Amino acid sequence: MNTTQGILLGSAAFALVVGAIYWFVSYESAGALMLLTMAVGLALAAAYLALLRRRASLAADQRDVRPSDARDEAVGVFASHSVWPPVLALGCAVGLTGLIYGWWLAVLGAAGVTAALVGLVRDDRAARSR
Amino acid sequence: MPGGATLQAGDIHHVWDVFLLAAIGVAGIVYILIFWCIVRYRRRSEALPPQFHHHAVVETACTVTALLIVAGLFALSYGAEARIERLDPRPAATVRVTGFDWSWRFEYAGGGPTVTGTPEHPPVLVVPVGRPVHIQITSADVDHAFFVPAFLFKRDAIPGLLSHFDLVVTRPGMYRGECAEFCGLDHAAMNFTVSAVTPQAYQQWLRERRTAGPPGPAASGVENP
Amino acid sequence: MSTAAALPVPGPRVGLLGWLTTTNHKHIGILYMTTTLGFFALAGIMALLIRADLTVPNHPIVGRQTYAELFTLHGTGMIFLVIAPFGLGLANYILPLQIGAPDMAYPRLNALSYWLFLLGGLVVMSGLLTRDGAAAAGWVAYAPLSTTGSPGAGMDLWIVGVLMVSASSIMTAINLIATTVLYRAPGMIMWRIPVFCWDMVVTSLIILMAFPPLAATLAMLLIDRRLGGHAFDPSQGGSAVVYQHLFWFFGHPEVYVMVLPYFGMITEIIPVFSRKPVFGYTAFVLTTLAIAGLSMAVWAHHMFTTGAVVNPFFSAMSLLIAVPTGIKYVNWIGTMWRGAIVFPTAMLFAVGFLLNFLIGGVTGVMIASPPIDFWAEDTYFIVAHMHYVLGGGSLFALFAAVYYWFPKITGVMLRERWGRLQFWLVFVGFNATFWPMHLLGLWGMQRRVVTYPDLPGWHAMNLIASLGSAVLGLGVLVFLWNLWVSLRDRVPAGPDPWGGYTLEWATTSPPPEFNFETLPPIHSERPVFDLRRSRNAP
Repeated sequence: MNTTQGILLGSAAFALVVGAIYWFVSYESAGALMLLTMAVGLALAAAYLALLRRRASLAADQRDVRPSDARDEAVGVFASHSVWPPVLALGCAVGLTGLIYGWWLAVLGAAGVTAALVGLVRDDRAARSR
Repeated sequence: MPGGATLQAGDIHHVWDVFLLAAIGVAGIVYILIFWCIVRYRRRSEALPPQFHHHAVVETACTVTALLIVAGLFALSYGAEARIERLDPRPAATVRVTGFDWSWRFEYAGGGPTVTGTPEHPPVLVVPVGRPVHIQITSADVDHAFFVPAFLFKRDAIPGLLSHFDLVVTRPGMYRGECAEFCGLDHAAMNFTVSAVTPQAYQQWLRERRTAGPPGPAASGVENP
Repeated sequence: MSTAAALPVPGPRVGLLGWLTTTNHKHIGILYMTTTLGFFALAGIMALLIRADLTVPNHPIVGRQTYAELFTLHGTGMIFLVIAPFGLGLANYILPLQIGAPDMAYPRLNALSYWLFLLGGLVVMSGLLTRDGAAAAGWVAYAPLSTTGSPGAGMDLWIVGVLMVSASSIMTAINLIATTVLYRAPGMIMWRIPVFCWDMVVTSLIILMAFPPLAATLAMLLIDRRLGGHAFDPSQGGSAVVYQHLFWFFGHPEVYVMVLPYFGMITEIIPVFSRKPVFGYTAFVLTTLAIAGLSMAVWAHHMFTTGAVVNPFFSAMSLLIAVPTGIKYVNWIGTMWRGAIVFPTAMLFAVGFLLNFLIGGVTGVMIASPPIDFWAEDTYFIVAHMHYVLGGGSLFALFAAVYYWFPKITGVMLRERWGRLQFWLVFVGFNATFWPMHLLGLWGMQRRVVTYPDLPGWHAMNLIASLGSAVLGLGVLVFLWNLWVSLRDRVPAGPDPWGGYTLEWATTSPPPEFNFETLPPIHSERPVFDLRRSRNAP
């Protein structure tokens, strides 16, 4: 179990213990529910990492590997310039204010959000096919 | 500092004194250490200073000391809170306090008078000195808070919640009260006065103010949590 | 050196359109930090108006509604649009560099975070342009004041804007954790990453635990306000107390989101200028984790005066969290101990942080005691406490971080003489503004009041605070002047002006697009220090 898994699991255990103590001390449902669902969420994240066992052999988790040992290995693929994030944000802003000023705004915002999501998926597909 | 005009204020002030002493002690030591460092360890040469990474004894000792201090402070605070929140089974008076935008209503139980204020004419809560007065507090609209600086004490007035506390005023006098939870436009004008008088004067006041019928209806939707 | 591949997407890479479409973590970091500077100026002007209003008793200079909007937007702005996002923005720039990564794990998500933050902040502030004015229920927006008590659109805009900023923070948190888990350079095990990176990972964990409840609560407010809900309406079976539970379950961890990044910044700066390693790296990481866990269990210390929560549980947790926070002072003093300390402006602000935050810390311990809180809650004592930790603490660390990393980001040095002047104005101004508020609170002056009566000492303390705020404002002007003049005069910084320890100092200032031509070997938490030593060794 690597450090990240340990932190997530430890935090989940802490949330569970504190949540249980809080419930029996107070019988207050809002706080107890939030603490216990917090434990579940953290445990979920820990489980996900555990299931992806290949991550445990990250070069970065080995003490004596040097960056020069990994010369000419691709670190990853990083997306470059894209107009879709600001479009998506603008669509969200306009769409949410539709809750305040009228449904026509929500429609406009939804159009922007849809265009941006389609654009993002398209760019991603184009990149992976290269 | 003002106050200490109730029994509870005595408890609160004692806790404050201990915490203040601890704060000055700890902060004082830390300040001295910081100033020592910035004066004594100014760079005077290019030589690399000793590159130590940790010191198990120092770190452990500080952690244990801190835990002990905190445990002691908790014990003190816990005991004081229990005393402050104790409710007397036979109070000399019971008053329903209702906060509303933007003043207060005081309804004395047992067929007693109802005192309602306005921002221009703040209400007066008359209580007998030296006797426990039981307060039930709630709100008719948004959150408010009943705060008397001289008592070092406040309690929130929350709609849908009936909260209980006792006041035992030890000195006769007029004590300024204010709202201590932001509640809208006239939050700053939502004042009141607590008038602590001798028990005889209190009975006199009750007789003069006693209304024929029962007190006005309490705020709707009131319940215990 | 391992390489990173970029998708060659045709399009503008310079100019306004280039900034609009960038996904590079360095550009996004710069966008974040300059935007927070803008919101800081706005929220700061509001603070100066508040102080001007309170200078003379019974003599407000703005109307009651305007005053409520001012303190609401000042608080919302400083919390959601300045202190928290600056930490995330600096992390955007610095964290990938410090772990030897070419960019953040999800660059387009990163860009989305920024634009949601900018637009969300603008939506919140746009309430000022509406007919009924901006939100005026305080930054905490307690129901029912924020539902039935706030009929105007400004409150809805506030809710929508904060929802957007919340989404932005959650996305950045995901990005920071994923980047740190996936893209550390070979040899950069978790126990060698810089303390700033640890603090950002833990901050991100807190964001993931605390912001979803906020988002849910804001959605419930909207439903109550616009869609016929009654979640917080006691007359219809709802509960005003539950609002406080939901809000503070987010609200308390939020203050650690606003403090942990700054602990990290200070812990980068003090070792370098003391020529020592961090004292107690392991303890520092463990105490940071302890703070994160405990921070989720203390929320109802904001509710001690409701009479509706189990005070001792929250008092115990709140007193307990003081211990790991205090241990950090052992780390910081231990780092300076027997060191060789110099005092460029960054270090001045770091020491100022240590002195100021301590005061906020000990007053925090005091109000963790319910009896003391019965006295101090909702008075200026609380205002003093929060500003000492967030202003005297985080803001000072923010200035320290700017002086420290500005050379790396821009390639030029900030002027030291203006920096010193700024430090003294800000240090004196800050303490003159907020120290008197401890007394005002204990004397009974409550919060969020447009004016106050002429009681003994109240005018004098308020006058000192207002004069202090003017000095503080002057210090901020000197800061802006320094930024301007330094960028104009362009004194070159070089790759490593301070003798730094961590990987960002192993590349040019500013770094190239994918950060590193080559990386040094990584055998400790100070790879650049180790490299320098091995080069100087005979």
